[in-house]
Amino acid sequence: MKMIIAIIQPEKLEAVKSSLFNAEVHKMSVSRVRGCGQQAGYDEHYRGQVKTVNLLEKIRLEIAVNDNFVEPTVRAIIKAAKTGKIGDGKIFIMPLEECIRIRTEETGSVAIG
Amino acid sequence: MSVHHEDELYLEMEKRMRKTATAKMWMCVTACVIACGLSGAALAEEAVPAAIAPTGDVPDNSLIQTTNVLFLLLGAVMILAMHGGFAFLEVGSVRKKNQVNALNKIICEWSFSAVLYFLIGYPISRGVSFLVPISQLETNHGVECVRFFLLLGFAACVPAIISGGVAERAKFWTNVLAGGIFVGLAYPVIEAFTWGQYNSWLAGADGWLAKFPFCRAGFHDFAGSVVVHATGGWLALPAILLLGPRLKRYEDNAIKVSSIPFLALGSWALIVGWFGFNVMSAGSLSAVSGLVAINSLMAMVGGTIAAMMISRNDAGFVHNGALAGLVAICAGSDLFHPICALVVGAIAGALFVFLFRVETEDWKIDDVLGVWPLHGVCGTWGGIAAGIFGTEALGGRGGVSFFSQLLVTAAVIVFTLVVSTAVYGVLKITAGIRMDAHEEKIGSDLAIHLIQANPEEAL
Repeated sequence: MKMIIAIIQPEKLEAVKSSLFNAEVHKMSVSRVRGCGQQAGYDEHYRGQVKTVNLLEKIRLEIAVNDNFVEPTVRAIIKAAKTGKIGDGKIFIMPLEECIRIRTEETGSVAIG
Repeated sequence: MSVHHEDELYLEMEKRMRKTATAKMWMCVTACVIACGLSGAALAEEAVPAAIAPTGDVPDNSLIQTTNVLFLLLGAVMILAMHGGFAFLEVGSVRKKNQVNALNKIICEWSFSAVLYFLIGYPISRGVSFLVPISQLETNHGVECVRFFLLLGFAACVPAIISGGVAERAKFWTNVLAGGIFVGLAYPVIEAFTWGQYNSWLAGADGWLAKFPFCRAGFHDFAGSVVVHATGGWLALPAILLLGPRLKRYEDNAIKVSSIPFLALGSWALIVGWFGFNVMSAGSLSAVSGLVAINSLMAMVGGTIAAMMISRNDAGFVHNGALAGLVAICAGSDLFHPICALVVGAIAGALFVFLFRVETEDWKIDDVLGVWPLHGVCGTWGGIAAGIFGTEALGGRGGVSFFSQLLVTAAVIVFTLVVSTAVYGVLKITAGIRMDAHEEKIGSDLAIHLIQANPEEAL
């Protein structure tokens, strides 16, 4: 079992969701985060003051998958989110120790679904 | 290391900003020169510039004049509040990254409109110049000054209406320039022939139009369904078409409104201010009519209820339905029985809901706030309805003709379509009217104003 964490551009969310649904991945958590990497920030001007903003809005997807779904999930995300430009984002794959479905108290691969 | 200067995209943005800064400067200089030239020409033509409107007698009674000043000022201030309503309606209806642009656009276009209408527009429509000694301006406690302020509120609706249709993708300065041309020239021409110094041909009871076959009366537009709202809405349509839809609007349709509370707040400010727009169109306290007020109210609620029932309690449609009713009632608010006002407003609300869907989904015209159905079509309906429900047969006060209403409304539509196509067409070919794709992606707030609506959220 693995936990896939993907940081993507906000405007790519709809495309990534569609791509994941097409790859039979339906369960995920989505949150708004701020992040910086190689992509540059910008300056804000207000009443003569200039402030640099370099933590940009990103979307974070968390998807728990069984091992056989890791490859299709990653490919689906990249297919939808890649533009070739700086700022496309990153995917992290972490080992997942246990997964429990609260409704039925199932555990393991069955709980991931 | 200054990372933010290395990124190619943002470097380009800064270069473009420097270029537009110099372009802006030249546009301002040109505009000032043209304004001075035109106002000089206007002064030169009139042998004796009159600061007092040529229409009507001016009683000596100071109490009448002072109460008129107060009456007109109250109307002017209520219409000023309406413009705040325009601003917040747009703020709520656009995405977060375009909210600052909506706010700045409305207040700046109000300001440019004020200057142009003061120097050029009002002289064209009313034959009155303000470039006269101050003693003339103070005649009758400055009643002409507040009358200008009131009528400016009407005139400045035109760029505010257009702003709602072209939101999120229009270039700031070309839109200001187009708005300036409309407020300084196009709208005053329409106003001159319907309300202003040349209105006897079209509006006079014994005028040229009244003597036309089938037209037994002149054109009647009490508060501006046609003169203001239809004008604004139809001027906006070519602009929206020439601009094209927002990026990806008809591909993935992921665009949402940013704030229904702000949208509703804008709608309420418009509703409250509208009673000044309609009631103070009487022009003086002695001509004030409570009928106008109740008709405005009935039309507003008619529009709201109709929109609610047809759209099944949709937030955006309900709040715009009220406005649709108010747009439609302007023309005949002094003529109708209140029950007819309710009906006219309801039909307007229904028209708006129906046409907004058809326009934005079937015809794929990306009219962000729906200004064409709301102001253009409902204003047209209001102008025509005045000739239907204003007749004595339907309980109205009479003195109107369906064909007069139809003809002048049609003429205004044709005129505005031609003028707007010409202005926006030329601007599109020369300076360009649309932000480029990168600017539209980061949002007009950052691209034009270098700040986002909620700066504390940016880290």
